[in-house]
Amino acid sequence: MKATDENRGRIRGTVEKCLRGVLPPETPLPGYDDDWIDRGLLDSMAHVDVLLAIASALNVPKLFGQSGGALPTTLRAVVETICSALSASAATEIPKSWLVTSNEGASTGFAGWGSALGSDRVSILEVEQDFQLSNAVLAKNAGIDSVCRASAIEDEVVLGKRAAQQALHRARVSVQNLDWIIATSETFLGFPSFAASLHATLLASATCQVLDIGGACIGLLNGLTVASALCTNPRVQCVLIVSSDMHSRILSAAKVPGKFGGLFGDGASAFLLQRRSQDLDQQPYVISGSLGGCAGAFSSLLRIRPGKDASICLEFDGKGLARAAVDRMERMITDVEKACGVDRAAFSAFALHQPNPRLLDTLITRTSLPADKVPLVAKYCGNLGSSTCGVALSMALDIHGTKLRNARGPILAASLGPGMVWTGLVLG
Amino acid sequence: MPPRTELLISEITLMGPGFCVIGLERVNQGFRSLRPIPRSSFSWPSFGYKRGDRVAFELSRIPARQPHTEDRQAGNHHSMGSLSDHELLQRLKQAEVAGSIRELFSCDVHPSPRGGDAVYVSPNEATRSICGCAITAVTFSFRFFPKIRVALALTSGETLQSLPLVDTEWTKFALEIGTDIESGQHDQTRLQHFFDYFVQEEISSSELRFARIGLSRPDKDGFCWLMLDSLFPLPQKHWLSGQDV
Repeated sequence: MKATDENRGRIRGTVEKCLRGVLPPETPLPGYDDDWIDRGLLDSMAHVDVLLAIASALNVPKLFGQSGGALPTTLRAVVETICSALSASAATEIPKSWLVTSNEGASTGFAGWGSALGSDRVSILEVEQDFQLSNAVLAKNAGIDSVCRASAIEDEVVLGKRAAQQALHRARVSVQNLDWIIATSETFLGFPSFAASLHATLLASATCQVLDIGGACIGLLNGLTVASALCTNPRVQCVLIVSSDMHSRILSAAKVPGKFGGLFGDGASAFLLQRRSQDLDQQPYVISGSLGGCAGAFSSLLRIRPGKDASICLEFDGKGLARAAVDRMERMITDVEKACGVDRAAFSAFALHQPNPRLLDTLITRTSLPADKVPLVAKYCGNLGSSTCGVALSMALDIHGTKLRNARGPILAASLGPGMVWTGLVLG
Repeated sequence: MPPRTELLISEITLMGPGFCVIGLERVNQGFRSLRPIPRSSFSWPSFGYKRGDRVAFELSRIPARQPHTEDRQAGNHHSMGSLSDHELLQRLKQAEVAGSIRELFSCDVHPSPRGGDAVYVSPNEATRSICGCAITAVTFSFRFFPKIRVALALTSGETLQSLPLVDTEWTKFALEIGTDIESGQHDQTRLQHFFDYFVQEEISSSELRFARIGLSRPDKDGFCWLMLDSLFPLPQKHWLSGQDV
């Protein structure tokens, strides 16, 4: 949809929403021709920030400041700038909504999904004893009830395979039909890589390509993003995306402090994206929008790498990380809401990363999310790394994944990881 | 008569229509930053000295508001000579220096809640308002020219993605390049290209890479935004000679 008169109102609405986010609650929105700077509503910092927020909300980067003229400082000037920028370039269009895909009726959607948890459920009391923590620090401060730990016969590949088989079974797809296996794990070390190991254990065809993806806690969402891009090639019919994390073998009491290591559990998730041509009403969820980035200012809050003699070097500022994580997740939800033009209340579910349950509670309170729409993972399983968001998404799809389009809302899957990298995917 | 204090002028930054000035005072083992301010305002409507000048001021303590604890009321100033950029930088490295973002102002920074990538600190958490740091990389953005934003990478591996550039020398340098002499129009594309392909290379290959990050006065939301007060190496006139700008 080009920037015609019919969407001028929508543009104005988005601009006003961004402006509202900057102004104090008690300050009324300025009139259409009121100058934001002259009226003292915005200072220099806020002016630039609001323009960036508008560009981000409209999903049109570098919207302002390209022509060399003065930056717009009124509602009218901003709306006109956007309209003329869009009409100047036929290729630049404002998506009517992120939730409208260009390939409706023949899209690549979520045909299957599944999850697998470490089969030993350990109470948080036992975890605290393992790590020699006193005063129920994990139960009280982190709000964890139990963690799932892999048994002696389980590892990343075993759990990943179990989740993948669920996804394939649900989609009624033979493993021989996979075009790609994309895999991520924040704990799997060594070669053959995790994706290659999955390929072998699933006995995928020799022409099925494999790809390992990093990103730690955003690894699964990175994988889904790449899978979605691969699926623009019409020759790609089926892509399996798998996450699997086995923290209990690495983050042991001998290697890391209990306040960190005790937060984690073992688990896996899998999703099958499949090209389908079918009735629009029965169309499965598709990835209809994504956002993400990297805020290097917060990269030092969590650093973890292998040390000498199989030790682990850990830098962990729990409080700082918690604050930065909640800030970022809150902003991601707000940005998605603006970009979609869909109120957060209309979403069916929020599959969110959960470093610990307390943090999730804080986020739910701050963002006024309906708690029943946020599948809980960390409270009962611990932080599953890249699989936290995956298990939550799998739970959300169990409820909404087979509903007709008009009976469901979008799902937001959002996560962040070390380096303060973040990704949000909207499934519509 | 109050005693005179010699300050080595280290920063002259844009502050509204005026200038904010910081100088280095010699203390026991090194130097500390002080901000001479005129009697009735935080900024100087005009300032007759340049970076690297040694200036004697009559300074008096005032009830400074956190985090701008370096504020001193200043009067009766006169020049005592000047130092080179290199000599100034040596002294800046003996003043407030941080190895990480948190060390800059002894507190956490917070992301802008408004949508941009700028960061701020809370006034009651920061213990100072100016600090230096070694840097490994820098990029400039002229999207909102004549406002300039800079991204810096610190040696800690952390990055500051969107610092407003308030250093008068750098902003003047950019304005000279980015403004057409005849029409007075800004040409961001030409400016961005020159900085991307020449200036950043000059900075990257310099051994003098160093930045001084300052804090704005609290805005109406109580946010003190991080700003780029100084960037070394300083812009050089000879960069313009022979360059297709």
